[in-house]
Amino acid sequence: MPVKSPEETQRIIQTLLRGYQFSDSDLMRPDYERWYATLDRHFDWFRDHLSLSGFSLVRDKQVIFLEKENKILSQEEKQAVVVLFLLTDLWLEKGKTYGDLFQASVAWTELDWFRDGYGREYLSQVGIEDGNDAALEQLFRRLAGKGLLEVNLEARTLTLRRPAERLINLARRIHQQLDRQEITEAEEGDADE
Amino acid sequence: MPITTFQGFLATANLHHSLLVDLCAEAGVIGRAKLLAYMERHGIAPMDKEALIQRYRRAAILYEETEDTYTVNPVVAGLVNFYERRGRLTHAEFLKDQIVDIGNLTDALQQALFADPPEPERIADTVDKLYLVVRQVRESWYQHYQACMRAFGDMKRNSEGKRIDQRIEDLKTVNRRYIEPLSELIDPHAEPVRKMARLRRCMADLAARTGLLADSVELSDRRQRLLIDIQYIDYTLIHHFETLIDTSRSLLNSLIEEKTIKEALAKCLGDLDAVWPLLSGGTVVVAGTLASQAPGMERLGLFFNDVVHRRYVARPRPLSTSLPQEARAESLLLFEEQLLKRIREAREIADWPAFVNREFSTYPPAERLKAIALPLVMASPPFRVTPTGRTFHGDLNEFTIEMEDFGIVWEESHAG
Repeated sequence: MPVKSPEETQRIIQTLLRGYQFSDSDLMRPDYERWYATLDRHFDWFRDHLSLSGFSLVRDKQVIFLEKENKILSQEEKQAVVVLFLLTDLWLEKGKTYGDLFQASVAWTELDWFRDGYGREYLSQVGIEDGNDAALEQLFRRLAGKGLLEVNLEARTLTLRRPAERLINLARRIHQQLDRQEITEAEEGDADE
Repeated sequence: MPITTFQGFLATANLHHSLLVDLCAEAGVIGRAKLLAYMERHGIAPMDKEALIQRYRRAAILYEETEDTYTVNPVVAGLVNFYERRGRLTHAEFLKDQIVDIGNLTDALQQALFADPPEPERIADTVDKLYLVVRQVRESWYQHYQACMRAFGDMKRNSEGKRIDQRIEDLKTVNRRYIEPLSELIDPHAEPVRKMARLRRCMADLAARTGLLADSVELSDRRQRLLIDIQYIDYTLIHHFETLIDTSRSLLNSLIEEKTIKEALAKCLGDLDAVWPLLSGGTVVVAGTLASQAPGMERLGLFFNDVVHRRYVARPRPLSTSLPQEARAESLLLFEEQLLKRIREAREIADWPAFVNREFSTYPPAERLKAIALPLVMASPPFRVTPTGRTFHGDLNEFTIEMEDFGIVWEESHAG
């Protein structure tokens, strides 16, 4: 007897293969809210089926996504990391609360930050050159397609979603790792002397 | 400076109501810049600002402390905060002193209750004093609760532009001054809670003096109101204070978390080259099927076919069945023909029951019993039954039988 597959399997898998990261932020989005619920409930089923054709479905707390096959960071990923980190950093720098990034709409005009000061330097490190607004906007729209943020083109605002939070939390882990590396290096340095 | 009438004061106070409420929420001196910022927020045109400050000063709403610093008239602040239900922060020492007063009065009431001869006046006076203090506690605690909640709200609202470190410091200060001392007031093992418990016991003692209460309407009235206040403190306010302590703790936690995020982000952005190798193990964004890194279309197509046609079964298991052991009917059942055949071959069997038991020992007991009984029940048998006159004892595993023994002699003439 064939195993009954969950509803709308094909749509969900297509969305996953497109690179979309499902999360509990989807609970407010039409259609996606149903798909996220199905995926969440039948996670094991989806993972087993996808693994048969070589895809690994993983979940990080409330975020469910397909893991990348080759582990080399693409330029797009580097850009996403820098833009998200920079956005959050500048937002907090302005004395606004972290929670608002995920609830309030951040006005596009605030993207001036990216062009000024140290933001510009970081962006140029990942290939977004001075004042290339079009490239930034395109990146935001691509990230919105992957479920990382919500973009309102009319009002020119964006709101971060749960998968973006996952990346920002990665920063904390990396910070710890960097600190540990520095400590061990310093200790080795001491030993050399 | 013209003297403002009370009418003028009211008109001024009514002018920018929400601005005044905000100003009254400021605890200390207000700098000129801050005052102007408040006016800005409440939509007062730049050219009207100076005139309004002067008007507030004339109405004695604002006091000019030094040049460019102001304070709000404490009477106005008290009134506004009272009517706006914004509460008033009370110093922790004061809250504790009130409890000490209650403790002392409870002792006095206890003494008066058990004095000999009884002193009804002293009891009535002490209950009256207790009533006043407990009412004060109820009010000041409630005001304190409201003010603390408002302080949290103001902190969130006014935090824009402040650095995280500053915000953490602010919260820590509020916590140390106004919230932390509350934990002592609600700690079940600390003095204040024990004092309140003693007051309740004392009230129970008082309730037992029915004669005394019946004599004085005022005393029983006061006692009842006192009881209501005590209950309010016990159930509502203690719960409110717990909420305050929890809220303060979770606010501080989230601020500290924000701080670690900020530090982590700054560190990572400052050293991007070191970040990439650490990130490469995980998945940031998957390129998706539309980009060049995606798996080929044939592979995807095959995959969809397989999923759609349900060729994949999650965690398939190899089939395993345990086949039943084959056994022939002849080895389990004794048929009539088989028995007759044996009798014909043997011609004469002296002890039929023992013979069956011996020869067919592998068959089930019930089958053997049927075989033993067969010669006795068979219609027109081809043999003769010859009683031996002895008794047969047999053990058929499941049961034992005892019967008259008999033999069998084959009679050829019957066969056919």
